[in-house]
Amino acid sequence: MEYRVLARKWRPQTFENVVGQDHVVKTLKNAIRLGRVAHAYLFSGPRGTGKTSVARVLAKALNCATGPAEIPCNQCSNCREITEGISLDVNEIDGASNRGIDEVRELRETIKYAPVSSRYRIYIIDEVHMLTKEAFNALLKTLEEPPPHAIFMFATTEIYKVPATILSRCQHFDFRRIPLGKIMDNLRGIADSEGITISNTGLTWIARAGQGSIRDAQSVFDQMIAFSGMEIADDDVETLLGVGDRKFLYEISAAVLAGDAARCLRIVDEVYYAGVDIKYFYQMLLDHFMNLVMMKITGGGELLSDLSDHEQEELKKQVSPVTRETLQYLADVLMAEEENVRKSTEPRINLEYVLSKMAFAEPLVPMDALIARMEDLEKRLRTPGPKAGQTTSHGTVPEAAPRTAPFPSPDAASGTSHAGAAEETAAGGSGGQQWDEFRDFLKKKSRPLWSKLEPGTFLGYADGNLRIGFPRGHVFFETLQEKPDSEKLAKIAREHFHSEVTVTIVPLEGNGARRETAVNNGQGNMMKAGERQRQALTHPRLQKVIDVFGNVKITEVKVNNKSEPGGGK
Amino acid sequence: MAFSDVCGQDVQIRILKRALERGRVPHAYLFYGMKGVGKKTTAHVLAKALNCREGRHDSCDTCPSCVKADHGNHTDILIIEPEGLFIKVEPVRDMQRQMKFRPVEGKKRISIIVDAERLNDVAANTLLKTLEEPTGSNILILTTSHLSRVMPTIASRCQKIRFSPVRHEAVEAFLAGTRAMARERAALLASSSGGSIGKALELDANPEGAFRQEFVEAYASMEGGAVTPAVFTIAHELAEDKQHLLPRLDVMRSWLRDVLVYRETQEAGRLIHRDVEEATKTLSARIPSARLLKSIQAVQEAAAAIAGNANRQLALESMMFKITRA
Repeated sequence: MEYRVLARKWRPQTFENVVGQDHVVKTLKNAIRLGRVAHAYLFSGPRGTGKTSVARVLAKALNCATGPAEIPCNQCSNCREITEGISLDVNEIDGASNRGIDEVRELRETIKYAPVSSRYRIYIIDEVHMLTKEAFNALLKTLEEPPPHAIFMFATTEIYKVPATILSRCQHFDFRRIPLGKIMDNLRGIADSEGITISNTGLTWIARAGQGSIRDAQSVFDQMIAFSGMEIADDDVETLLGVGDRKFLYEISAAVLAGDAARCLRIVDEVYYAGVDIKYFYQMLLDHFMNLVMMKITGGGELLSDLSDHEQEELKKQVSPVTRETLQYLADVLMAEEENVRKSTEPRINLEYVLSKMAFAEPLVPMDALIARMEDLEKRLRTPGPKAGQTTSHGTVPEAAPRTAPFPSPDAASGTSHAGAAEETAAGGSGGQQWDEFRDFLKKKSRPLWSKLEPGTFLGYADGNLRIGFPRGHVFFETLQEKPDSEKLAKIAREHFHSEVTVTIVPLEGNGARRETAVNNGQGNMMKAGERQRQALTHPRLQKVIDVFGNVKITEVKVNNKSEPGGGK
Repeated sequence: MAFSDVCGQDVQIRILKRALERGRVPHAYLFYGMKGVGKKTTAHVLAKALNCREGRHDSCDTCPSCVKADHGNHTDILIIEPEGLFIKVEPVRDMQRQMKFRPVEGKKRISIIVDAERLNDVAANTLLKTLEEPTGSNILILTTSHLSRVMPTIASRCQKIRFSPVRHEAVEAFLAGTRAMARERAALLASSSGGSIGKALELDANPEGAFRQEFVEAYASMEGGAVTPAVFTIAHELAEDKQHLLPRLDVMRSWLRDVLVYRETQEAGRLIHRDVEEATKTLSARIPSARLLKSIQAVQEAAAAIAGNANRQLALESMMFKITRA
């Protein structure tokens, strides 16, 4: 007997043997059991997932002498004829070769005759997407209401080419890619009954080469057997499948990340002489770099579950010293060149070009790290020169030192008459600390009140009298003196100082107030400076200068702290 | 020709021979790999071996069957090749008609489809059912140098065998032996061939040698971004000769690539244009990689623009400026 490839030899002959399409098989079996078989079925899905096989099994189940049975007997003449493809009542038509309207007309002629020896006359049209538009349309009426003895089954890989009017007249089943584990089980079963020894590793490689298609996997397995005989060594699988190709991917990414263009070029040479299709390899490389990005973002897990543990480890190792931005940039470069590679007559040169470009790329720093650095710089610049001794904090820690400076302001020192010398030491020395503590306490007690008091200036606390300065025109100057706020403030102050306290809001004079806020802390100072610069640039006098001289370039704006906005230079 | 005459595909030949010996020859093979590495030759030898009357799982080259096959008039060996750009459906239908009958004189009927990626949509789909379950005694062999362009449903129905580029030494041995070339010339061509015997023979004719020389000299003189008359001459020359334009751009690109590769690896063995090796080496010492990358990019862009119907003269001049200023 002539040799038959595994995919043909092991074509499923019952529903039980169909791999990985439980949703289809279950529905069909129930339909047969309940006597609810539709007159037209459409099977679609990727190559090698069992569409034609299911159609044939279904034909047998319906026409079996013992049936319609969920399990065809495979013994009766009907079943055997279908298996051999010689049944008069099951017409398997190649839709791609018989795609015209004439063939459909012929079919319509013959469909009206009753079946010869079985229950149904079954038409299996494979590759149905190749029928012409006219052929499809000629089929519509027949497909909607065929004679009671006729059943249609269509199979196709390209469902989008089938018109919607055909789709709506059929029961449509979508076949799925077959998971790796199920392909493995199937191959293992074949290996056992053919008496072939192979390790699980080798079998995994073969199953993976199928990429979700059982026929592809079986065909690779077949080739393996032809090559190695009954005992298949892992080495042989590696040679035949080019498992080594994946190794190149890791070598390349390592070289790119190390910025080693020479190594990249050497690896490309190796890849090339290994006979790998460079365009195909480019796709693999793209996937690989996306895996790297994904690994950086997710740190492994489900998205990368296709990869072996070993590969995941390797990915993890490679991405750890690199930023996500760098990886994404590299993936960008690869993707930008994809179109060119696809069109190229010598894709190897494109690959070499892209990899050199990637290897020369400067590593990228993440945006937030950059911003953090800028902020840090800003802070260092902001620290006022003369007060260099007080650079320790920027107001976050309620320390006495940085806050002391603003307090002995002229207004505080001599503003109100009954401020004695002892009192002033309190304000100048530990007053700042007291004030900070009080504000923290207030913040905990009542946030709204705290925020109202925040712009105020501490003027001193002595003899149960807390004095807070406010610019006269300030929004909260009056509110704080009025009923609910003043009472609440007094109460909180009492709680804080554990004694009877009166809170006095003291008005500050305009000019002094501005000084207060301006020097209050570094930030105010900076903002003020920026604002002054803006003012300076839009100052009418400067505008006039520009108008008069025409070609004026403003090189620097100096801010003079003492006086009003300075001019452009 | 027997299996032993196929050059540099040892693993592949072993796979085929074992399948023959074990009687496990599948009904469909797909040979893929770059151009000019022996796919078609192997397909021929396999066809002969399957029908050889000596029955030694190889072709004997002396029995009537093998002789007929060599003369191209064996009734059971069909060969379909692209006519123009595509393989149309008619030859495929003819083949299918013949496949219905038993082989006339041999044991098997072998149908070889060369460059299967060129099967047009209808032809490829017509082939699907036949490829899946051909009638008895029929074997199909498809060959392609662009696996990614072959319909996946076609590829899935065949046993795929990958043909590797031939190692330099093997190409050299072939050129020196079978083609009786001088040793030195053979070595030079072999290392430039990129592992393809077909390419080596093409290079032997060296169609763009003069142009390349001109470009190499011009590139060497482009120090400091000065626009020399050569820039215009080259652009003009390229634009004039529409037929040779794209091959010439390819030559430019691959030579620039050579300079880059030598600069990075310092290994002359990796160069494509070995005959201008000296110029490549001297230039590679002077020109920074970034500039080379920009030059390559300029050539690629120009090629893409021209493929997209841009004005040739303008595209090429702009390319030359970019190369000069890179």
